[in-house]
Amino acid sequence: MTSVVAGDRIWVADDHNETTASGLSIVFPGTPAAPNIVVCFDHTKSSPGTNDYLTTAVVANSTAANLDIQGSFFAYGITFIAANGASGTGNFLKFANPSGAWQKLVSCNLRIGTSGGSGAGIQFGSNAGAQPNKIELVDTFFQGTQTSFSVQINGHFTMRGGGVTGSVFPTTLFTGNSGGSNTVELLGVDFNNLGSGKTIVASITHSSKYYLRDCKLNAASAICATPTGPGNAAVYVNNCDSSGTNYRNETYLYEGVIRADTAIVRTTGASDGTTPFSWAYVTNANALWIRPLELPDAFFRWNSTTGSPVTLTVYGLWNAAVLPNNDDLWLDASFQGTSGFPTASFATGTKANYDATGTALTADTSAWDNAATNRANGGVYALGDVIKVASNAGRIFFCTTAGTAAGSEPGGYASAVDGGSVTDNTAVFRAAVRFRMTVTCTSPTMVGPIYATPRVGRASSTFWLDPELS
Amino acid sequence: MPIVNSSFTSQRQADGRRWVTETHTDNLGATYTLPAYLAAVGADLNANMVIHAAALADQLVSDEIAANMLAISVLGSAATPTLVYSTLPQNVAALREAYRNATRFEAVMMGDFLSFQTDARLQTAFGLTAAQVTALRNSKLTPAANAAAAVRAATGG
Repeated sequence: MTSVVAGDRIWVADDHNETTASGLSIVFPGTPAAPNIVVCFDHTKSSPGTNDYLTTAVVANSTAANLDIQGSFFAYGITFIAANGASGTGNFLKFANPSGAWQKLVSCNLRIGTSGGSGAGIQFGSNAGAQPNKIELVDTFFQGTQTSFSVQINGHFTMRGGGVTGSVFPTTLFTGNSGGSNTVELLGVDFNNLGSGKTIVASITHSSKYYLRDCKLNAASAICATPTGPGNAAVYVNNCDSSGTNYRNETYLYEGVIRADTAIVRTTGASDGTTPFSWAYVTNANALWIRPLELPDAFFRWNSTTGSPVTLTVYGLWNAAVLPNNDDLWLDASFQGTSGFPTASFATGTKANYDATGTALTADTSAWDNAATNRANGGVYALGDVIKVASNAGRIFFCTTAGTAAGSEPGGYASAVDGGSVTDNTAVFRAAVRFRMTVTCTSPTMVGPIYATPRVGRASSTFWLDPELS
Repeated sequence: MPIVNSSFTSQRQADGRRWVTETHTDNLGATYTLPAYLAAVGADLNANMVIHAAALADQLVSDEIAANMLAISVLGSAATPTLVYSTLPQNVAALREAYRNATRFEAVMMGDFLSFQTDARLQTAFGLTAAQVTALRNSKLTPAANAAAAVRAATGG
């Protein structure tokens, strides 16, 4: 690359098939201000033009060693293969240096060959540099030969289209690279090849945010592993699924998971136009009042009232015998309350401080049985199953003891109140406790958006909330 | 296999799929509640649980190895690697690979760490003879330990 300078254009013939029998470093002199342009083209054309781009050039090394691509550049239509030899372990295809580089790959294929071995993968960005890298992939695919193959990212990474291809797929696709932090945006990526036993994002032990939007998932794969620290990888999923839905949204945090639910929905609540849904806030043991499970500004409403208080309401329910308190979960809001400036003012619906005692939320009588399954005589029910009965319309009942329902509906269903239990032969069901939580914004001074954030501080609990902010 | 007990709860959805939450317990009694996943209609949830338990066990092993490698590459002889989930051979193999891709500083620290291991331990870990261990100490480990000591002794100003 000695005759090439920053900003130069490099044409790579479509029949270019380069293999080096050692570790290989390709150092582009390009800088973020003047990246090199590297394009695969139809070599039969003497003056390649816009219609002559192809995707068949190959650059590989054939030994158990790294293939290291450095510098700032744009590449089109090239397959990069690291460690395409006989045997080896822990070899990488690296796009890691220098720090602060910008790299964009379009219609490329990034592979670890047969001598990549256990622990091999693709590394983007350097964890040792002074500045993070920015890497952009468009219609580019990952491919490995071992289930231990992974993609490690440091810096700002975006991937549009593309996915994982080949015949052997990684157990966990995105894993961490020691040190560093990263923001990963995955838009329209096809993860269908990551099936049963596969996970898209590992429990990454340094600061990372993964955003998945409009991606194709496999019906059997997991999105991510449990974040093991409050500052570790958080994963945000927006409209991704393995089938034709448009309501599947999830957030994976240290304190738990927020996910869409289509079986426990408020009858007059949120819907995507076809499918009613609620949001289930599922906390784990890490949720605390001082560190709740939350998705900031998850609820939104346009406010046209100024000079008067505005009260926001969110409806919910949970599987328990009593109403939750306002330190189990509560509603916070931000609004334009500063005269002359758009500075946010804040309102909270929780208790005054850590040592204060929480008070019960307000009971509600909204119907939540629209999508629940009717109780079946003799039905076999597992813990957590949900049913409804015509004799007590509007309520849903959670199975709290697995078993087989009676041959006819016990009378206890008709008279059950929220939180009340019903023995149904060998099964036991409990009527869900319905509630509403409110927060009052004191006199917004400007017309504009009001954002509400439900926060759940009660550990190891599940609350279903109607996303329709009243 | 560090996972000794597994269980799950599931929540059926309107389209028949189920949100499944698994809890696994390891041999030390620590519990791991995995993020819920959406199981396809008719999915074998018990079989999935077995697969996830195995994957979690592998993750515990790899996490411990990664933590050990990080500690050794940063702290050298001051590192105290653990073998709660991973084995000595697994860590030795990882150390070999980490050394191949190590920066100069990391290589010094790894050599410093190994220099404080007994001859017997080095022989067992790397399949070396006593003479080979002596040669390794002379050529790499002792110089690395000396370099690490110089780094630790260095002061600014």
